[in-house]
Amino acid sequence: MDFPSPVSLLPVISSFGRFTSGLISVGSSPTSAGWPAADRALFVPFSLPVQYLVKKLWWVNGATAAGNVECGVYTADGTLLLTSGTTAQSGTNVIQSVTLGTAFLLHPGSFYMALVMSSTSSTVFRSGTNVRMCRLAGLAQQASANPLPATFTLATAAGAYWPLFGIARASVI
Amino acid sequence: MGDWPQGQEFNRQVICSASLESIGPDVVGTGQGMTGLQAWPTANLAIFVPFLVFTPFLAKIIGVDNGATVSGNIDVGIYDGQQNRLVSTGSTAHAGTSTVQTFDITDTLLLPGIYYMAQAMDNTTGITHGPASTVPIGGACGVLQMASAFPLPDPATFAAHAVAFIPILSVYGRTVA
Repeated sequence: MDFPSPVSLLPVISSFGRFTSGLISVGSSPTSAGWPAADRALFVPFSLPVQYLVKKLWWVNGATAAGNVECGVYTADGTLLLTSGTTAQSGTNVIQSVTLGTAFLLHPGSFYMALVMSSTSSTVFRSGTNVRMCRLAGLAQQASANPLPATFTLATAAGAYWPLFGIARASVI
Repeated sequence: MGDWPQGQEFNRQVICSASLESIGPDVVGTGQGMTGLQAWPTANLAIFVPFLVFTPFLAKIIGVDNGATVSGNIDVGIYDGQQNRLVSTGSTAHAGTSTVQTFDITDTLLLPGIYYMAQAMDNTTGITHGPASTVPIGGACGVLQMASAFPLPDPATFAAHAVAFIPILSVYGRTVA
C-alpha cells in the first residue's frame, strides 16, 4: 500500500456537519418546523478538501409533507452545479432523497448547498437557533427561487431556520 | 485520479470565531457553549481570536452580533500572526440592537496562514455575542487580548486572555451577512 493514502470523506455530508458551519448551531437540536416562506431558498456554505462523488441529495422531512422541494449545490460564486430537480415532498419524519441520474464529481473547493420549498405547509427538520447566529454561520437566502435559479443572488437570512439537509456519496441513506 | 489537489482544506465563504477554522471545537469541547450575550468586559480592551486560512480568502466584511444594548464605539479588524494589523474599521458607533452589525472593510486578501479576528470596544455597556467563558479556558482556546487598545492599534501586543468573554464574530468573503 502506498502511504499516505488519500483522505476519504464520510458517506453523508450534512448541513450540520464537519464541512459546514453547522457546529455553531450546537445546543439547538433540529426539530420539525414549517418552511419560513414559500419559494424561499436557503443557502448553507460548505467546503470539501477532496473530491466527492455526489450520488444523492437529501433532506429530512418533518411532521407534515406538502408541496415541492428542490435541493442543489452551487459554486461559491453562485453557479448551480447540480440539483435534485423539483420533487414532491413525500413522507413524514423521514429522510427523503433524490438519486442523481448521473453522479456528480465535486472537486475540492468552497460551495453552497441550497434547499427551497414551495409551501410554508412543508416541514423539514431545522435548528431554530437565533437568526443572528445563523447569519454569523453563513446562512443566506433568496426569495422567489423556486425552482433553484441557475445563478443565485444572496440576501440576508431573515429567519432562524437552519435546515437539516445535504449531499451523499452513499447509495443508501 | 487527476491533478486536482486532494486533502487541501478550503475555507467556507464565512469564517466565524465559532467555526472549525477557528476555535469552535475548542469552545464546544471545553463546555463554554456558543450562546451568550454580554457587556464588553473592560473598556478599551481588544480581544483576538485565532483562525486559519487554508486557501487565498478575500475578506470583505466583518459581522458582530449585537445584544439588546448598544453603546459607545466598537472597532473590528484582522491581524496576522505577527501581531500586525491588516485591516480594521476604526472607531465606529456601536449600532443596532439584537441584530448583526456589519462592518465594511477594505477588501483584504488573506493568504494561507494563521490570523486573528479582533474586536475592541470603548465601554462596558454595549452588549455583543460571546460566551461567559471560564478564565483561563479562553486562553487555552488560543484567545488573546490587549489592554488600552481602542481603536485597534498597529501593531498589537498580545497578552494572555484574562476575561470571561470569547467574542463570536465572523469574517465574510462576500458582501451579504
